[in-house]
Amino acid sequence: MINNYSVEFKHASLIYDLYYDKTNTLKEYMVNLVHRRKYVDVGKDKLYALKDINLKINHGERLGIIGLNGSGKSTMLKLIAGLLKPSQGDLEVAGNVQPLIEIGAGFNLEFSGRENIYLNGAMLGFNKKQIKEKEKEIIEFTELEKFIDVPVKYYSSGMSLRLAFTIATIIRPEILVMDEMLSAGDLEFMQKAKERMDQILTTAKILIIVSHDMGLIRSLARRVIVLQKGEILFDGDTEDAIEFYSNMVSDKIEKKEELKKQEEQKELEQQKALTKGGESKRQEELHRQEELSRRIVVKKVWIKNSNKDIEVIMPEDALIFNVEFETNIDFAQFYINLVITDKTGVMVAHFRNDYSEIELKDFKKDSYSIKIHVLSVPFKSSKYKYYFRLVGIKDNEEIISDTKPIEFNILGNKKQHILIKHEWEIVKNNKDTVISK
Amino acid sequence: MVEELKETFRFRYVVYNFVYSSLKQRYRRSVLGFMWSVLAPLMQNLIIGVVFYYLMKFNMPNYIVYLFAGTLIYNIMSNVIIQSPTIMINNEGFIKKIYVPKLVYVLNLVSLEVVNFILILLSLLILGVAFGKLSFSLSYLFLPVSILITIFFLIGTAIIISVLSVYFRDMIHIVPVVMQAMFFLTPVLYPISNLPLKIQKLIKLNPLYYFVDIFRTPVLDNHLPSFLHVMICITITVLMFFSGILLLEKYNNKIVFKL
Repeated sequence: MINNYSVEFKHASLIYDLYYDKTNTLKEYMVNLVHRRKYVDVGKDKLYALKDINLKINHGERLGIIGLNGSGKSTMLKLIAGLLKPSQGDLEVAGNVQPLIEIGAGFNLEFSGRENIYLNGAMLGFNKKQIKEKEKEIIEFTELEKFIDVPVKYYSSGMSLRLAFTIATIIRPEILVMDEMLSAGDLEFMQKAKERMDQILTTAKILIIVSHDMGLIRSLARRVIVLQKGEILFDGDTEDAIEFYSNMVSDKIEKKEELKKQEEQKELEQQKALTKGGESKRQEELHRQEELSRRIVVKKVWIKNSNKDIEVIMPEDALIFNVEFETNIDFAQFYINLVITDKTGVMVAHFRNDYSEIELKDFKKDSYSIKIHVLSVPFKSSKYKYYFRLVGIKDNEEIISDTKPIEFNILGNKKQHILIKHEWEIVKNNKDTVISK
Repeated sequence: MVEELKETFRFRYVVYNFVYSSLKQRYRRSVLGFMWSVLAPLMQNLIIGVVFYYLMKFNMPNYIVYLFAGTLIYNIMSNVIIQSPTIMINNEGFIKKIYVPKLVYVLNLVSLEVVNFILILLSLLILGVAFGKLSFSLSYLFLPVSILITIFFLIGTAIIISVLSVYFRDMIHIVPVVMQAMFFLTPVLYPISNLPLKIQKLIKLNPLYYFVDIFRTPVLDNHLPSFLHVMICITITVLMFFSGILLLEKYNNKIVFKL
């Protein structure tokens, strides 16, 4: 047995040959032959799913891979799992690898649950004796005792999910490769499933996980790489990598929004040019919206930092979020929301008047100014956005007015996702000496 | 090549479980169960055979044994070959998600048909003896050899067809048509000696003829098949098996992109 497991990419590339799709029938192949054209020359488009990857994953490492869709994350997992081979360069894997990629792919619907346990077990590389040992455990865990000899095609989706999850997790590989978290069945089973997953995760010597769930990446990985178009853009500490990635994503979102705005502008101009006389339906719609938005008019939105300027906000600073607005009709009920998101738009905090047990009933037409005093913003150093959402209810109709998201920076806390005030105390028990306090 | 075969051997339980469950499932829900798989193809061939017998008016003392032995060995070959184009395509879900040597999927198909074949063969032997149509002789001992040669021939052929079908999907439609023609080009319903010499020559170009012959002769005529025919079969088998394995090795990592 080796006890130094590792995975090493050496200038590895994976190329999808797009021209493969061009010659799909015998006829075309023959025609190409007759014309003395080598069929591989039909349009030589190459797509690098992974480009010149150099990466060493050492014994004991927990590696997370993040990136946008199509950046090559899953391809990387498939390479490590041996489902694909690099087209160029080398990949060395020391240790037995098992992928935990998309469960439930491998059922033969005509076979019974038990038969599928045996067939799938064998496909995972177990021999008959080993599967027999696990059989009982699997059936017990899935709670499918009554149905285990019924063909899988009669199973409910929850039942087959449970079976698939349990079979997929009988493996105890040294190198575990995982694509997204496995979800399985009802709440009670999910609890069980989570425990089982944790067991596998802790026994694996090397864990490589792909996920869009940053919480999961945070909890499982200590090192994270960011992939973009088949290349490693960042390789390092988890928090730094997530920061890098969310910067990348927010840049992309901004660019997209700008483009969208430009397009909308263009469209509007075209519309105007087309319909000089009567109003088009779209314009009518716009008109109506304008009419609606006039019922709640936001005047001003700003933050006040109690002691310092607004440019640099420290986690311990007390802030006042302000909004001034006018209502032009009477509302039966009114809600004021303050939402703080990170730069990718994921909500990190949400305040609402009724959460603080303030009811705003019979909200009369008037001008208002709202202050929300926040005692601290214990978030990680990064860019954040905040906006107000004003919701008025009249005759069972909701009128919503969102303020434009405004960016602000929090500085100071580099490591902790959310900084809760705390102190450490580490004591050596036998000598009663304090190491740190 | 050795590596691929070794890996395949490591995954032999996949084949074992697949064949076992498939057979069980195939016979699970019918009363006559296994009997049907013996009866159905035989009755079918019996009908065609009898029609042929009266149309062609050929003289054969032991026609019923000739017919059953021929169709039995022909059917296993044709069953495997007709299903071969979809081997990789049907297992796409597995190939993309879990590492199992691709040869395993080929062996799944071939093994299932072979086990089925052997079960039918044994029941036919029993029936034949019971009805006094068969008399055992030492030549029967050659049957395992013929069957073994045929199995390797089928593995090679199935690999080649399955890999080609991934690249040229037309194969799925072409292969059954070709096999339909082969059925009449193989002397199964009629004796080859009944045909004009010209057509006999044509039929001797059909490789399946030799595989049928080395299986049927020991049963029908109670003597060994001609040495030449055995050698032809072995040559074709070696050729198909090794080119199949080499083809699979060459395209092993590329198939997944084409599925």
